[in-house]
Amino acid sequence: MGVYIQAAAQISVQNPLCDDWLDNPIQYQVPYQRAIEADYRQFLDPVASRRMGRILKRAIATSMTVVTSSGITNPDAIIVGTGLGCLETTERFLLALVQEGEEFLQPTNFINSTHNTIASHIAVHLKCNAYNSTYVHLGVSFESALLDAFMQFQLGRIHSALVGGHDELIPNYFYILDKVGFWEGKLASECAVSFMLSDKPGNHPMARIREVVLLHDADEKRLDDAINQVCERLSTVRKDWISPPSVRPIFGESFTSQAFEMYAAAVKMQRGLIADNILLINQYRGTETSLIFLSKC
Amino acid sequence: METLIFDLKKQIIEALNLEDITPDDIDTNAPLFVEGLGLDSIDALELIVLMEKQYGIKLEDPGKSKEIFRSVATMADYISKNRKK
Repeated sequence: MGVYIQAAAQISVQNPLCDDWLDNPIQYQVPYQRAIEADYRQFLDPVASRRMGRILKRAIATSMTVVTSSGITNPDAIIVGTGLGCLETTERFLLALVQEGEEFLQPTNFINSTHNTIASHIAVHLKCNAYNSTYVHLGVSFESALLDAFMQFQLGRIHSALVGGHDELIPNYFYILDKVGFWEGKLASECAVSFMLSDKPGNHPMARIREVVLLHDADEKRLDDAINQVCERLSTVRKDWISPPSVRPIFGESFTSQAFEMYAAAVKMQRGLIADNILLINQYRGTETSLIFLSKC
Repeated sequence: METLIFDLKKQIIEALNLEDITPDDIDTNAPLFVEGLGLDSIDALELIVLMEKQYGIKLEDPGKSKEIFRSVATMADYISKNRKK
């Protein structure tokens, strides 16, 4: 059984839905930068889009892009990881709650304020009734969604999956986290990355996902043990796996930034710009660790 | 009445986030739902909230909603007769 990345798309602080960042990354000298929006009119009619916040529009646009690129129009699963969900709509709803004394609350803001709005909107848009799930685990939200898909592929329950990492960052939340030193001088930003995965390599796979591991409270020894166990399972040794420089300085920091790492590794792997075996390690706040093993197809 | 109709159109545009539409684009007598602006049931909820928030009108009888929300003109007529603010 293999799990292959058939297509990937991003909306971020770099030019949207393209790979311009590879040759001409936009540099930012600010602590906080919101994503560059795509032209959503090519994905959504105005009646549908007027109810959607930015995070929903980005999720639909990146999802539709990978659907078109891969030709997989009805995936067996839609799985989304998001650290904060539809933060902008939630803020709007909560502000109205406070300012209007819990009266006159707009239903659209309420409907769109939940975390699982993203995966469900993608499903509605694709008319996809398949497995639909959302993972909200802060810094490993995306990897949790990816692990779910990977395990279901292993069990043979699914043959294709649309997996995404989506987060938006409103000014108030940036400032709150900034006050407690959360960003540590990194570029605070937003994330919208979608992947189409399948258990068949197809004609132009970007990369193969060999293994996904999540660890909680892992010290260095446990981390090494986990990596070595995977290496053994894959009949490789530790030195076969290269961890490339992070692309977070290019795409910015968010709770689902690891989706950018996998996206960038897959894009570079397909173009032969990176080693054939890549290990992506994410250590979130010293408590949650994720490992993604990618190989060239 | 003209001022009320103009204000109402602006409030509808804002409440329903109707981008690229101006008050002049909305036909006062055209149907709001399905045809005309093509609004749906979630929009109806937004309009109920709008009526209460802007004009203090609580719609007690759901059976009347269809008639009240038929067009901007019928909404304005109902507001002018029942507004509390």
